[in-house]
Amino acid sequence: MKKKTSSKERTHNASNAHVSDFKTKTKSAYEAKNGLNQEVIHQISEQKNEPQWMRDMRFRSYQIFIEKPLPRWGGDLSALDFDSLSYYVRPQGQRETAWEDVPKEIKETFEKLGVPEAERKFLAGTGAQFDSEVIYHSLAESLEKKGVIFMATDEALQKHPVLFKKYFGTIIPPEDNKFAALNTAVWSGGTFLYIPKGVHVDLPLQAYFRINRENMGQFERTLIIAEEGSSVHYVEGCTAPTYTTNSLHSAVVEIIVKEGARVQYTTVQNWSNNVYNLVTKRAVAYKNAEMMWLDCNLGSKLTMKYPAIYLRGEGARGEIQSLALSGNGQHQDAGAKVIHCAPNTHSTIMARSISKNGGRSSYRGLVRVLRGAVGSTSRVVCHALLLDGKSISDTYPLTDVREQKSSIAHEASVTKISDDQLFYLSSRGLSEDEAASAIVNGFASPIVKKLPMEYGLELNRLLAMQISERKK
Amino acid sequence: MDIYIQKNVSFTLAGFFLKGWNSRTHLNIFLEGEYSRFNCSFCILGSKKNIFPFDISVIHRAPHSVSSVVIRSVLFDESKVDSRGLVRVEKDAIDSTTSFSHHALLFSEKSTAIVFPALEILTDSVAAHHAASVAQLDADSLWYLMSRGIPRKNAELLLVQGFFDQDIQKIENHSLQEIMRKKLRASHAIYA
Amino acid sequence: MNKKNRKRNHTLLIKNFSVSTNGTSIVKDVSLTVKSGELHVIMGPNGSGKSTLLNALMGNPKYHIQSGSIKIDSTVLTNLSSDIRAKNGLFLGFQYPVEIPGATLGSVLRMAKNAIEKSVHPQAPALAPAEFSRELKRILSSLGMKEDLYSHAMNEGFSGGEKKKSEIVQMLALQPKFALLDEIDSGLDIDALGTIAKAIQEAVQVHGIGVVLVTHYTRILKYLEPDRVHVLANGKIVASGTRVLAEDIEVHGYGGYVSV
Repeated sequence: MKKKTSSKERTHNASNAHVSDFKTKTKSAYEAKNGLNQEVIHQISEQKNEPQWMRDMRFRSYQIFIEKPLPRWGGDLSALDFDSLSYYVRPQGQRETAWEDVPKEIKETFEKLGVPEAERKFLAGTGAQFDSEVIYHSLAESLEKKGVIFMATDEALQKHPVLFKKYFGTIIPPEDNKFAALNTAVWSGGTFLYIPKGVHVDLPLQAYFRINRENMGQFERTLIIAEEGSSVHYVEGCTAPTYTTNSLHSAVVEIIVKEGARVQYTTVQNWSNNVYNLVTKRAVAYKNAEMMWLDCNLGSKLTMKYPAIYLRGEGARGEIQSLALSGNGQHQDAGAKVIHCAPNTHSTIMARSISKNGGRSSYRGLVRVLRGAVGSTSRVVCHALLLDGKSISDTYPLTDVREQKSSIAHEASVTKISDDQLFYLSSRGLSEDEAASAIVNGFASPIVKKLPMEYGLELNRLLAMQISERKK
Repeated sequence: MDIYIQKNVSFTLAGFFLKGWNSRTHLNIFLEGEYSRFNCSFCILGSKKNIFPFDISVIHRAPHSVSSVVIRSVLFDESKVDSRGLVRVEKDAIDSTTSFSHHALLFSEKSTAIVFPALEILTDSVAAHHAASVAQLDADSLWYLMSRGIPRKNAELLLVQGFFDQDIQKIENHSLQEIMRKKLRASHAIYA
Repeated sequence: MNKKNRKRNHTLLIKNFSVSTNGTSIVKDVSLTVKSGELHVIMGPNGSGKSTLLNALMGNPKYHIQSGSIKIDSTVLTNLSSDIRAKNGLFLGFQYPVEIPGATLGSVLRMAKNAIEKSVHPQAPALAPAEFSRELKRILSSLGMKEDLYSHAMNEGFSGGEKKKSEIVQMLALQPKFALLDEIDSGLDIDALGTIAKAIQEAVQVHGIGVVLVTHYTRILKYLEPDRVHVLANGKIVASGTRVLAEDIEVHGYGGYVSV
């Protein structure tokens, strides 16, 4: 039966909310079979010792998943075979890739980006845990003192059941779309973050601090609740390529930003080229609240991700900054969605994409202003940069306005690196690659400069590296 | 309606729409020949419960082709414009230029605008730009005119004419410009 | 980069240089020798090929070199790419400086300076950012420009005059052996003209940079002391002389120099 955690263990720093500890609470190894069926879902819930309501919700979601069709728009999902995937692998039973099997390009990129040895093995899925315990230790203490809850979603279900149940699935119900239903049925891992009233978390909280295999799992479920007047910046992912044999990453992120609170959620993903990255992210902002999504999509075979903000309270503000990089064989179908439901709400969407080597970047966006959202404004700016004649850029911006007293503007442009710019920089002594790099980094800079510094630096280096390889 | 534009041919389409229609209409333009050009200028003046559902697609298939689509909608009462545009520049259409804009002015509480200018670019040798906006009459401009003694309705008329004229004046064919302006003036009964 | 009187001793040798674009011949058989610390002015009516000449010397891919050669000292630059020419000490001040959104003046110039230094001294360490920024800011203010343009995107939002000054700032920062200035005086007001002319004179006399300045008007010559003045008409150098030549053009125009 379930091993109860003593209160002593709980007050011991949250750094113990680490995979190693958590592992011991779950049952013995469950053999992962491919394909999805009721039995698999039953096992997932069993292994996690979940309450009945969650188990029921999983089953209900599974039904919805089966019945819902695949979206007819967006990227090409025809090769996605649900039956061949495995849906739950226990952390200890996690299949580890041997270092020799990690693709050469990934290893070369690590080398060029100067990724530390320990991190390389982790990012490549070879099993070594990144030892973040030391850094995490003192951060965990200061957070706990403020009443901040920052732990794995699975654990939050056990330790904070009332709070959890109050919000889970309220922003993105399983009926929302096929992948939300899938995630609700088989979710595992992810982050639960709760910020009490008036508490400001100054340092960006990074999923890195809690690195464990479950964070990089296929079906993470993240839930963030920011109470009135609080603020937090959460960062996930990294610029270095992340290799996984799991070819479907379907996460769900729900965020509630209450009155006067501020949340920024930054994602930098660079999944390897075999991954379908299909994510549903949505935030609800109440009165005078502020929500910002900063979304950088650098990897994966196909990403379909449209961070959304529902501006439900008067004076709420939403901002979405999206950067997409598409190379050979990749399709970034990313974008943004904002619904203005209340008066005097304001939104800004800035999307920049770079396509090279036949890659395809698409912006898919929606700005909807409901009747009654008097005094609302929205501005959308999309810029696409094509680095060669094989690459593709699409822009699908839908503006739906039903409130007269509002002002919505959208503009988009598609350009390439001009010969004039190249010659100008070349005449200053920059080589062709250096010139193209300066231009591409300059193009991405309005968004990159909003990232925490170390991400920004890494991203610039990654772009420069991609530029020098753009002809390959 | 499908229109194919051949080499070196320039085709200008201007439209002024007062009465709406119910089922979605489709206008598909194909720029098939080198140096072909398509210019389109639409003015939509919606009133009562008229709706204007339409799709325009402009497909650039040949090099050095140029297209420019400008749509301006002013919507009164409970009218609605629901427009979807697609500009697609195919791989072989190198050195093409395209711009697409749809600006809508909502004049009453119950009017609605849905604008969707999509862009699909398959070649890097292109200059592509598009824009859309939905807003109401600028309050400062209205106040400015009224402060000069112009009654509200007349001021609104002037601003609406000015709004449309921003794109009418760009129509290359002068007689076409005049026809558009005349039609606009003739329809001012809507503002009463 | 110091202001000591530099004793440089380089030669820019342009021989029988002919350039065409889109099949049309624009520059015909131009020969010119410029030494360190010399100021040459090339004047000519519109369409004479002045801009084409400078652009082609710098290696602008739009232009095709039909014949002739360009050398700095013993290095032949004729078929080399523009950045290699820059590394060999050639600089072009553009007539229409290009905007590079998002790429700051400081970062691009530091990259350029490092690239140029490294090609001369491969073992040289990279420039210290702080020192470079101090020096660049000093140059910016010496031309009456705001220091914070260091962190501003290159040429973005600059006025016409600021764009031209930015070219001079870059020339002073990179310290080339030879600078080709394409109508640096066009669109400038009196004050800016004076500032730029002073900077050019200093570049020539103090830093020993060899300058080839192309202009349509004689205005800037009031502030400069050229060593040679040449007239380019129909792609050919039709006259060479001293500033007396310029004075003649001011009075009589180009009529006497433009033949058939």
